[in-house]
Amino acid sequence: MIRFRRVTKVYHGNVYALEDVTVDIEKKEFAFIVGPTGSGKSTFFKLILKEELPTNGEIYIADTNLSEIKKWKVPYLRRKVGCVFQDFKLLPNKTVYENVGYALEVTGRPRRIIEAYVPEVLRLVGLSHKLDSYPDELSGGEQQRVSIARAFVNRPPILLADEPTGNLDPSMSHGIVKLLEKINNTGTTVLMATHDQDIVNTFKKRVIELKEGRVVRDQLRGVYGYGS
Amino acid sequence: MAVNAFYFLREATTSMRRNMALTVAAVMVTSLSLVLLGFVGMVVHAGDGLATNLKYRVDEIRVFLKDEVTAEERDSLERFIKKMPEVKSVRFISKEEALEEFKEMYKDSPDIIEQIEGNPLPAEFKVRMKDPKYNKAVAQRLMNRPEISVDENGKKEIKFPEDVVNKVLKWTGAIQKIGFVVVVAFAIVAVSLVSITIRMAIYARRNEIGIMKLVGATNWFIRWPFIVEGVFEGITGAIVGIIVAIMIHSWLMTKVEAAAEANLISTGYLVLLSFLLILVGMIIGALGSNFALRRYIEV
Ligand SMILES: Nc1ncnc2c1ncn2[C@@H]1O[C@H](COP(=O)(O)OP(=O)(O)O)[C@@H](O)[C@H]1O
Ligand SMILES: [Mg+2]
Repeated sequence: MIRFRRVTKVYHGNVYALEDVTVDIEKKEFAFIVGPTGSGKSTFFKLILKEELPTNGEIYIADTNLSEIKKWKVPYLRRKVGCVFQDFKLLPNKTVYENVGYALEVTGRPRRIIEAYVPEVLRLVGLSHKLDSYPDELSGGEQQRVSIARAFVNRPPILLADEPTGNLDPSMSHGIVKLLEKINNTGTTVLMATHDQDIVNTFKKRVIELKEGRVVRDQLRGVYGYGS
Repeated sequence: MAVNAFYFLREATTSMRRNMALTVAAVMVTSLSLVLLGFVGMVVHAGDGLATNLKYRVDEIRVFLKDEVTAEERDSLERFIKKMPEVKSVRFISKEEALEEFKEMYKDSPDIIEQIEGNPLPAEFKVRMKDPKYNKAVAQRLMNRPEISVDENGKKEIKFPEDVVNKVLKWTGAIQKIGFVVVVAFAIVAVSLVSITIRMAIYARRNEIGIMKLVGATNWFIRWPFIVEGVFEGITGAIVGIIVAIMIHSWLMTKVEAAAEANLISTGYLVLLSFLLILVGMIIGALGSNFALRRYIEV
């Protein structure tokens, strides 16, 4: 589903964010990308979204070489790759329902689709009772559920979560990863960047570890570090 | 598509309300430049109309003949004039035709016509030049022709185009040139003001824009509300401009048209001018938003 072939990303001519990365992530897989801050996790995601271009190497998404996707087609790529961040990125002046509907609205989907999809995805993330709440009336965990609902409402085949639990306390983090697992079970490929050892150790998924831009470990059913 | 149109309109109006003061400034400068454009357009049009309406030609001199000139003498003068390379055409008006023309011109004032005894009007040649600048030279060469009548001071009766027409044309020409420069200058200011309002609108909505890109909205979808906003400002400016231009027009008519005795600026021309102003307003708005969008929205 996602293939990196000897990918290097250099910022400003001398910052090696990723170096010679070769990775294969299969359809329906769930993988953690782990590593300390600055190890290149976010850059990995930005390359998948074509937000940044690789300095060297090739990236394939569902067998399409990203370098062959024209600039004007990038938005259509992004509809196939849902995205969740540490800071939720919700619009404060819109309700839960509107925030999720917005993703459909701005991709030109008709009202009929919005009215059918939004309640359904909010039921999936467990927020059916908060449709009319505003983000600042929700807990951090609930806000992250809204942002996951927005990322998933288009039913993308890939979901990227960049430190989605970074702003949450451990009890809530667990629920968020469980939700990502549930989404993964519907057939969506899920990649989650994190440096939360507890989570990685609990869920026992594939672990791809980055260190200073290089893949130093790629292990099925892994734990956070060798020593732990 | 209908859903989208509503979406774009809603986004544009919300954004304009947020930046009321700037939007009003952009609209005002746009209408100011369009009022100027309308004014220049009307003056130039009226100037052209004045010149033709008064039946004066700037490239034509009138050569009056003595009453006792014979047909042969007349033909010889005509051949002499026609041979000159500067001359485009020569038209003969007989005494009778001159009288007819006179009666036609004063048909509304029978008392003037009644006072005429016999036919006091001279026959004449209307001599058209290839260019008005030859008027003097051609007249000079006719000075010693005996067929041409003389006035009480012994001067040959050769009449040059009315000075007033030349003056009007000179003025409208100047207004056209200066006006064009001023209009362009104001239009540039209007475009930059629209561009600033759009930039503010983009800034106010940077979070939304970020999320739109994130979830895969196309660039055009992101741009449309801003283009709608810019063009709307342009059109609003044009409508204000048209209203002011029409007010100037009616004022101008009370001052000038009495003298011209003619409808110098027709309703048809005003309608045409209004369309032009709306078009230019739209272009100002579209250019303004385009500049803002090119700088601030990239994939
Ligand atoms: N836009 C950028 N310009 C320059 N350097 C960047 C940019 N984005 C990230 N970097 C650098 O690249 C490296 C990897 O960053 P990042 O991918 O954000 O790592 P992580 O998400 O694991 O913290 C860091 O050294 C960071 O400073
Ligand atoms: Mg990061």
